[in-house]
Amino acid sequence: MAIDQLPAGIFAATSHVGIIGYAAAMMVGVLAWRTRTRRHAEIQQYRAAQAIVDTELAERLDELKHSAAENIRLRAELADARRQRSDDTQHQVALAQSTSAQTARLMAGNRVLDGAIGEQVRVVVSDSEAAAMTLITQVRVLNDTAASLLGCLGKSDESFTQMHRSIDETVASLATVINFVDRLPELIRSDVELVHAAASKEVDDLGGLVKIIVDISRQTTMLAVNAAILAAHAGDAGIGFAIIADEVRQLSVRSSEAATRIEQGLVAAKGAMLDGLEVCHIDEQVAEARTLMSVIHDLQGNYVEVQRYYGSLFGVVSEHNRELASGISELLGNVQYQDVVRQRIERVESAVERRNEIFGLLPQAVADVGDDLFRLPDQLEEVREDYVRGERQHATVVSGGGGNDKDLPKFELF
Amino acid sequence: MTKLILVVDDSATMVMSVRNNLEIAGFTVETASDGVQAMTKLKGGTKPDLIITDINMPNMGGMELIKNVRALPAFRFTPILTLTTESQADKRQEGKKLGATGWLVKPVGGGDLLKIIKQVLPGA
Repeated sequence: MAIDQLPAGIFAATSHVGIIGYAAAMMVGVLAWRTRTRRHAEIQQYRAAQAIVDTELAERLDELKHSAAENIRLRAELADARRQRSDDTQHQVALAQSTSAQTARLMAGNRVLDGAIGEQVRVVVSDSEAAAMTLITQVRVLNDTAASLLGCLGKSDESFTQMHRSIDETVASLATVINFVDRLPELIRSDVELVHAAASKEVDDLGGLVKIIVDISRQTTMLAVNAAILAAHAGDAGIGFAIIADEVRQLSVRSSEAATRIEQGLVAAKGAMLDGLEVCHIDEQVAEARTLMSVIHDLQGNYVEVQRYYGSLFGVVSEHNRELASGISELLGNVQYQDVVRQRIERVESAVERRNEIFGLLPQAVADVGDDLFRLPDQLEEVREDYVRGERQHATVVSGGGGNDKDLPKFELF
Repeated sequence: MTKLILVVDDSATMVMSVRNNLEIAGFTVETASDGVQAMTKLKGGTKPDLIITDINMPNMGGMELIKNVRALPAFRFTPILTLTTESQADKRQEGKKLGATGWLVKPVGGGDLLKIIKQVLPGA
């Protein structure tokens, strides 16, 4: 707007303002009237409410007075109660302290008792371990003895078998000898007869020759006698011839005597030969050999019986030894229970130790009568749960199944 | 040639019982009282055909022993049987995962033990 137009503008503006002011004044008047009216109503309401409030306040005041009196009474009672409680509290504190002291003594005694029991349990575990070791050692000796016995029986059985084989061979050889001996008399008899026949013939032949010699000797003797007679007739010329004749006669006599002795010797020799070739004794010896063979056969039979019995005995002992070995094996397995029990005892000892730690807190917790006392049962329960959970992990299972966790087998190959 | 078995257990009774049982059956036996001793023997040259071990042992338990044995190249396929009082499925699974061949719960009868060994040791 230009400067020269300012006064008109100002006038217009002033007019407008006047109108507006008038309107505003009108509105304010109306508003004031309305407000005054409303305020009046409100004041009336307020006064009514005030009256009600006054009434209620009066009632409340009465109540307060009663309450105050009651409050005073209650305060008095509270003071009495406090005094009483203080007395009780002191009494309870004294009682708690006494209980705490008793509990502490009890816990100390419990620890001592647990210590003594634990000591004995450890002794029991140690003794059981020593006994198990001794048992294992003795069982091993038993097994070695049984094995040694079986070994000796086995060797004896082998020796018996070898001996039986030797006896069989010996019996076979003896049978061959006996067969030969059995035929021997016949052979000897045959040879004897041959020898006898040959010897008799020779002796007889020699006897014939002896006869001839005797005849010749007789004739020579006769000839010598005749020659002596003729020599005697010859006189001196026959002396030499007579001597020779005499010598011839003596020679003939000696020849005859020798021939006679030879004949006698031949007869004696023949008789002796016949006596020596007598077969009666051989038959007796063959009979004795047959008797011996029979005895040996009986002995062989008895030996077979003994070996058969021994074989049965060996079989029975072997079977029992196998059963013994099996029993020993199972026994050694059952000795493992000592270790299982030892571990169970160790887990019990661990749980008892934790329990005693909690019990160790009890005296102070009783004395304090604070939250710690009320936490102790939960802690104890935790110990119980841990122990039970731990025992489940080591639950005994039976062979082939039947365990606590879904029938897990005792042995499992992956 | 007789088979060699390594028995690992901290219980002297267990070791003696199993040892005698196996020796009577004809096996050669070495023993150790915990996993540490067992590992010392294995690294020192002992070459068992089978290892039988307890689980709960001091110094080194059975689970750790199985894990360490399987880490040795020479024993990756050696059968390992546990012999323990632990019977729950979760423990068995853990052992199987670490490389155990079988799980036996104490006590084990001698006959049963030998039957199982024959199953895991061909030629035994």
